[in-house]
Amino acid sequence: MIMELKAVKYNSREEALGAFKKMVQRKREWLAETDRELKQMRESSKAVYANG
Amino acid sequence: MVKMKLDELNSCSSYKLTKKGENSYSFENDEHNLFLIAFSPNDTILEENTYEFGINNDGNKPSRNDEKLRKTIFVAIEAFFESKDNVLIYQCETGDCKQALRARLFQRWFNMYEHRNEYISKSGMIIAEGVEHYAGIILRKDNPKAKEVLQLFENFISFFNDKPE
Repeated sequence: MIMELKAVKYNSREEALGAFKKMVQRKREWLAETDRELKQMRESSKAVYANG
Repeated sequence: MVKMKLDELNSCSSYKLTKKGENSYSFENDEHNLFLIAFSPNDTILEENTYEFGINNDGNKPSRNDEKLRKTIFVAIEAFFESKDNVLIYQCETGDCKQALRARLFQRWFNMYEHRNEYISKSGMIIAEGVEHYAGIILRKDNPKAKEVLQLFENFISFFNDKPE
């Protein structure tokens, strides 16, 4: 079965810019969230070694 | 929806992947740097089957010559493309102004990927609010809508290449 293409249509540069800015913002949020996760993982890892 | 089986991933991966969330995995490299990778749904150019690839490591420590790191990332990307309908897009982080370096590194990694000829990869630069952003798309050559999807990506990028009215 061939998938139906559900394209997002942009009628102007402003519309496309708005969508791109949202994509950039979501990336920043993901990076902030994963920075916290990585810090927690690093601290857990240190605790394991310390209690070794 | 991406369905990636952890056991199958780890049977091919150079570093052991641990599932962190839906379509999100962590691993630690030989230099003891921790990494998180994710495939997050993205609806910028298509309403479905499109995911944004993200990679983060603690402290942004460089591991440029880590061959196992490159291989681990491409094992995950290859598993993502188990469905030929899937489309992967990416953007390079701009927060530290190293986006051009990241774009070149990822392109170099892709060029070294042994199955690269089974895929189409396009990238482009978007200048938004005075900042240069690098974005790209990867899809399987046998994606039934490959031509149309690529055209959508190129149309999107072209909005930013034309001079403002």
